[in-house]
Amino acid sequence: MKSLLRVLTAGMLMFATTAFANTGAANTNTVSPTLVINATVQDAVSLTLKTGALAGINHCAIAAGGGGDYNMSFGTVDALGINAGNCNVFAPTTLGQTPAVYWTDYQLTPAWAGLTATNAASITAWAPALEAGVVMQVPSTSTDQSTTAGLNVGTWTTIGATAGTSTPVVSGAALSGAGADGTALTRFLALSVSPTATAAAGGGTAVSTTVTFTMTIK
Amino acid sequence: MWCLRETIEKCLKACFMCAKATLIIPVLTLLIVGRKLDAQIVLRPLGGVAAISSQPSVPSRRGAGKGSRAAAPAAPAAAPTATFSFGTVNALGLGTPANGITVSALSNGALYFFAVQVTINGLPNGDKADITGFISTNFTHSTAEVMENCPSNNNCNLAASYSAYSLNAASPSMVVPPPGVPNGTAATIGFGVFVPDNDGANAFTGNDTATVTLNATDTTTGLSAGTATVLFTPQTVQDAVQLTLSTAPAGLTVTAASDYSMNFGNVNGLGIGPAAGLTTVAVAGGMIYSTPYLLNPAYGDFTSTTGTIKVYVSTNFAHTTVLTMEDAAASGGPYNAISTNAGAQTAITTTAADRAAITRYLGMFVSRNTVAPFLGADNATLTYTLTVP
Repeated sequence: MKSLLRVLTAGMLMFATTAFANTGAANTNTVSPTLVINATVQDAVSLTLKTGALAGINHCAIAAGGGGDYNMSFGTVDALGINAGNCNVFAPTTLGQTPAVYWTDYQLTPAWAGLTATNAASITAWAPALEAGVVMQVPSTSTDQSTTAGLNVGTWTTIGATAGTSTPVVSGAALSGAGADGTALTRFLALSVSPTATAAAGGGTAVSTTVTFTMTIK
Repeated sequence: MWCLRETIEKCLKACFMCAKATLIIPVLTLLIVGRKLDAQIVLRPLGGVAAISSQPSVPSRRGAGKGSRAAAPAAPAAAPTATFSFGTVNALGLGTPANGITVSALSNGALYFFAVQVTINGLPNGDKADITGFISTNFTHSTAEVMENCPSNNNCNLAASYSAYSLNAASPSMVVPPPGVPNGTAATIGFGVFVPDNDGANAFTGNDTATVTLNATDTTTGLSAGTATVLFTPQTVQDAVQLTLSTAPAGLTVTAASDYSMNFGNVNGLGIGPAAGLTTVAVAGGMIYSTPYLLNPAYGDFTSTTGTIKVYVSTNFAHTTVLTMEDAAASGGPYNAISTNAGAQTAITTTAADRAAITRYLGMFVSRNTVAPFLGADNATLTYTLTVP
């Protein structure tokens, strides 16, 4: 034991570096402080909208703000489809009896982190009617309709008017597919103007509604 | 004493009128200069500073003319009046100083100092004496150590009260300012040694000594009231190196804790809601949370004037597929993953200058983490190394 102590003492004398903390030391030429990094990883979801980009059609512009996160204007519309509006219009099947449908493509970009999307994932939308006879619609052909193929004045369905009756606009299959995270998806939104609408009947009053999109990743 | 002075003055007046003045003046002059006050300077250290040796100072000798601040000759005796040691010192003020010594780390070096009570004994009743001092023998390596003085009218427990001792006997530093102190009354003065960073060609490590000579003058008569020599030895200068981290303006807070820590708070692969001090940079597969921070190298008594700083991840995150530490020279990047290999560390700089802060950017890559998601707390440790060759 005594020998061991002597050895230790000799060792201490040989290495006379005086370290006072990892941040500083005397009688030496190097020092090594440490930095501990802390973080808490959370999951996150994001859903953004932007103006559509399909070739061959007009696009109602989507801009940030305007009373919501985004805003879009269909312009001046009427139940006969006489006004061109800001984007595209399907004339009514029967003038004065069936609605004109003003429509546009747009893009939804879903993104998520810390989550895995399955078939149970979804993006839905709902919106109250702008006024009686003026409602928001989406294609009735397919939840994931992303081209103009097959679209006409009769291929639209009114979206739910409340959160509890939301209408799917992107399916779980689309969201769980490869590369869906962060990839823009093209969808369609339409404004159906019935001949019974007050404004369409000549009121000329600007009306609006808010479309609420909800994305769920699970 | 007054009588003697009056007698001398009368005699001098008479002499000017006397034809034999040339014979009388030398005799009277001898009478004046030969008179001794028998005063002594006594030093008593405060605060536990151990005097290596102490003995009576040299009594006053020839009186200097009043108003003349010319120093009396240094003590002829080989032994100093007192011997003190500041012990082992370094330019960064690192470590615990010798008993009774206070160290103050400054922006360009370190000041080691202690207070002393000085007393002048043997003064005539009613007289006071001041004290001046100068470095009679300077350190051999005067760029590595500078003797400092705290006069009695300052608070000698404060580093700011100290200034360099005069090297000029003809223009000494004031130690106890006029009118001085009466016989036997203690005044508190301070001795200090400033150890500047002193890197480059004049770098020095090792032992050195210096001597300060104190001269007391009776401010009533102008006569010398004693001389003391104070030897400071052995004085051991060591090199020292330091690397600290601190918060950069607008950056994430760097907290001093074993040794330092940073909390990036809640993070996610989308960069939503970064904590204050963090910015996000979108990259493929996730997001980088980034913050500026400061690296503060300091070193003293090295021949080199540049050092190298490296970093590596000494303890990685538990979830390395989700979190990665990255480094960049600019806020916008490019960000590169910090090495996890101690033997091949990420180089930050090879030109780290003494006391020159380096702004660097630390990034935390957070993956989108969608395949095998991890949610929760994790941590990693970075080890920085400053080496001054």
